Amino acid sequence: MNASLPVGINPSPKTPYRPTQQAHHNSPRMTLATFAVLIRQAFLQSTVFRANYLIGLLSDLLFVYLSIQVWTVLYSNQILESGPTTIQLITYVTLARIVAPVDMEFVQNMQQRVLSGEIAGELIKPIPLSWFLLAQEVGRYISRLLLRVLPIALLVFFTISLSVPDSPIYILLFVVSIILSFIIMFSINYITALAAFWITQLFSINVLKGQTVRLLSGILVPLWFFPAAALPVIELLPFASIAFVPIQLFLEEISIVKACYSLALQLAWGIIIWQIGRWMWSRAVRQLSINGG
Amino acid sequence: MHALQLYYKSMLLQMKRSRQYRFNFYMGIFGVIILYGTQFIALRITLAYFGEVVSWDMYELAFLYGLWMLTYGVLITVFAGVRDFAGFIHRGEFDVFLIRPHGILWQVMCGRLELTSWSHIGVSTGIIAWASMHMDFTWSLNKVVEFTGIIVGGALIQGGLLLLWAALSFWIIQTGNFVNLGWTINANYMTYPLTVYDTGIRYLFTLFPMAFITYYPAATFLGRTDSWGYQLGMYSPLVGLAFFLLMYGFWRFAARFYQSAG
Amino acid sequence: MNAIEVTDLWKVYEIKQHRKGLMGGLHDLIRPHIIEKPAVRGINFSIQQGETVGYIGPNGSGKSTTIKMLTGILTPTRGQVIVRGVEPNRQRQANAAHIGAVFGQRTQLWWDLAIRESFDLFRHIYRIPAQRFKDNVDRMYNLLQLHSFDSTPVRQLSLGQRMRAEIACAFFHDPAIVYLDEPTIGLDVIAKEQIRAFLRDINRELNTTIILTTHDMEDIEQVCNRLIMIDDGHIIFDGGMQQFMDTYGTERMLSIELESQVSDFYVEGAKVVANEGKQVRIMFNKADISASRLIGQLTERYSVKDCQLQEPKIEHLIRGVYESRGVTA
Repeated sequence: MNASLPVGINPSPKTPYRPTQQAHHNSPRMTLATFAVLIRQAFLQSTVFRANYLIGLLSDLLFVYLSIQVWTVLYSNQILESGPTTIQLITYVTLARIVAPVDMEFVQNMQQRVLSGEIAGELIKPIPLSWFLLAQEVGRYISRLLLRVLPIALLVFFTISLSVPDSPIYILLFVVSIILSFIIMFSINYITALAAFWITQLFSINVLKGQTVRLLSGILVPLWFFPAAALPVIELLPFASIAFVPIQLFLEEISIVKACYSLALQLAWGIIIWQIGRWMWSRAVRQLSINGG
Repeated sequence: MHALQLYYKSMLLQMKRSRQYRFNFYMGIFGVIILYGTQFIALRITLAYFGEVVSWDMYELAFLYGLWMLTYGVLITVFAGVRDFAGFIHRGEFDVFLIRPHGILWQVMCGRLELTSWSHIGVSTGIIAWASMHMDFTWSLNKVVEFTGIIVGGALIQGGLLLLWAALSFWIIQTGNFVNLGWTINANYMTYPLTVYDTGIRYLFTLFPMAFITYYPAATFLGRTDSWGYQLGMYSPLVGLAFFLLMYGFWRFAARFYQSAG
Repeated sequence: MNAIEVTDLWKVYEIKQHRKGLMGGLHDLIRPHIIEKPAVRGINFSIQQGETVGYIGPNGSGKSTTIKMLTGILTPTRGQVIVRGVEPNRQRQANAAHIGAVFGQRTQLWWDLAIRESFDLFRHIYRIPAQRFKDNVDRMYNLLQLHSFDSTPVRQLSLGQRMRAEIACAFFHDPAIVYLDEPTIGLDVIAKEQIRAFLRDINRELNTTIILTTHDMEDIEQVCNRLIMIDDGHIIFDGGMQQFMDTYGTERMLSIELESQVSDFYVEGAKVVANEGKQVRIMFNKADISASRLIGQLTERYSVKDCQLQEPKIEHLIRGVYESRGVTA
């Protein structure tokens, strides 16, 4: 006797089961209110005074100090006519070290959760994982800006000097650029984290990500000093937008026209990489539901 | 002797085990290459633009860089357990060390084998060989002995730094920022000659002897008599030993504290 | 010389309280708020070589703290622990050479290796001479039946197989004392029986002192001849199993089935607990009246069809003791 099969189950054993279109009907929604709450929570969590935070703050301070020394000594022998002034270089170096959030916490956590199988729980949660993580990272980033970037920048401003933008247009462009660079960096980290579904040790991928970003975004070496031939190519890549472009805007070093062009490029990259992230997530979910984690 | 047999056997077994994780092994090597590769590219770009750094040229800087990598590689061959020490504490595995009839540090060292250390050693030897070909000295017996001393001293300092971190992980749960601090200082900043920095920084890294891993010994070895403080280079093995013993004492102290605090 | 001698042993933890908010965080840095939390309050006991001791207490009673001090993991705040003439935390390695430990929740085996290879590593860790090692391994293989899975990697073993291997490891170096923490947790009934039988056998054969901490009272009943109960840092019972039963286990339950229902069921010297239909349950204290006297009385007065005597379970008794002290598990 044949019991009737549930709707959607393919009775033929040869073709694989494909979820019907109906499965996407109830895709989870994240409301603005939820988003705001998550941001706030992450922000508050990261403001707890811990030894780790203090060490992080002091080490950033040290790095900035050391970077300033290295680059001013190097540059003092060869001031470029068309290049930055020393003050601008100092500003660049200071901001490059601390503004760009290259490494994000959730990447490590993701690896653990995939290994332990805990990640399967994400499939039944009403909030999509990417938005959840984004909200958390936004909270942490705001905390970082307030509790790390601001104190250090102020310190450098009052002890040495900083080139601060005065035109409101540039300030606005800078803020927009920072937001876009954050989104790009988040998406890159998201893709890196998702690699945990296929690779057991994220360490190397994370190093690859971090080092590539740091090199090509001008954090290790300001892009002014790169070989002139390579610059046009590098500027097209998404990495330049992570540190170089925003700081250029802060220094008011690019024309408004070029700025808009760069921002548009940033936006394009942001969308592309975010989409790649979404695609990878769907593959990961597939992987999870077929293999069971 | 049983202790050595134990070490030998546990290394063998870990090698056997990592054969099962071959992919991870290659990924690990890949990660190491990327890490050093990008630093090196950054250095080349900088030098392509500026020519030299406080009158140290490309080859001398490469030598400096290679020294750091080699001392780390040599150290991590035996000290990978210390590098991963925080994990032992946080997973509660440290207690098991306490109920075994062996010294704790020895057990920690037996606990982890890092096969990718050979990639550190290989790459750095290559860099040093390449650099030394373009420089003005020969590898006489004296030089080889001197070089060995430098490496041993540097490895001891690196070991001391790892012990310091391991000790701190008894108290601090999230040691991420501290690891980052040590690594970035060494990878990004100690690869420039110390003379790039102002006096305050110079004294800082002399007293907290990171400069003795690369700068001072390189200055002496390469005959840079014009370099600030180059005479200190010959003391690097001594400094290494002293620092290591000091950090080991601190680590023992931290372990005793753990035993009384629980 | 006693195997274990504990005198006026204290352990007081110092816990840092975290204050809330940003200002609280700063305050924490300048002057941290530390409160004292005593886990073990001046306990005393001594254990002879060859005893099998069940050491029990609810979570937070100071049970694990005591064991940690006995094994040398933790330093006492005050008082003394002497194990075979040696203070465990002062002479850590000397003590470690003569003790074994089994943790139910954590493995000491190497995850990817076959147990045979793990055993070999243990030989070097404990510096066991080759012949003695071989003899001990053979004995363990026989007593615990490890032959069938000795080349399987640990991660592929069932929990029962893994625990047998773990327990085997603890005995290779002929330790004088073995501490077992939840060794039967998560195991099926047969596996539990095997392990309990093994512990009894090994204790009989080698006179090894066995200290067992567990939440499974069957373990205690089957393996231990002595029971030490700890609660809130104090020892509330220390004595033989029989002594425990005599002190706390004097109540019995008698279930009888009557020919027909009796609404005003009454009996002297005992308490009627339930009276439903034809089933009556009676609770009595065996110090007050013996079971046979009671049954005799009942059959005289009522027509009893069937009766059943229930001995109290140690588990319930122990729980009862703790509950009467206001502890909920």
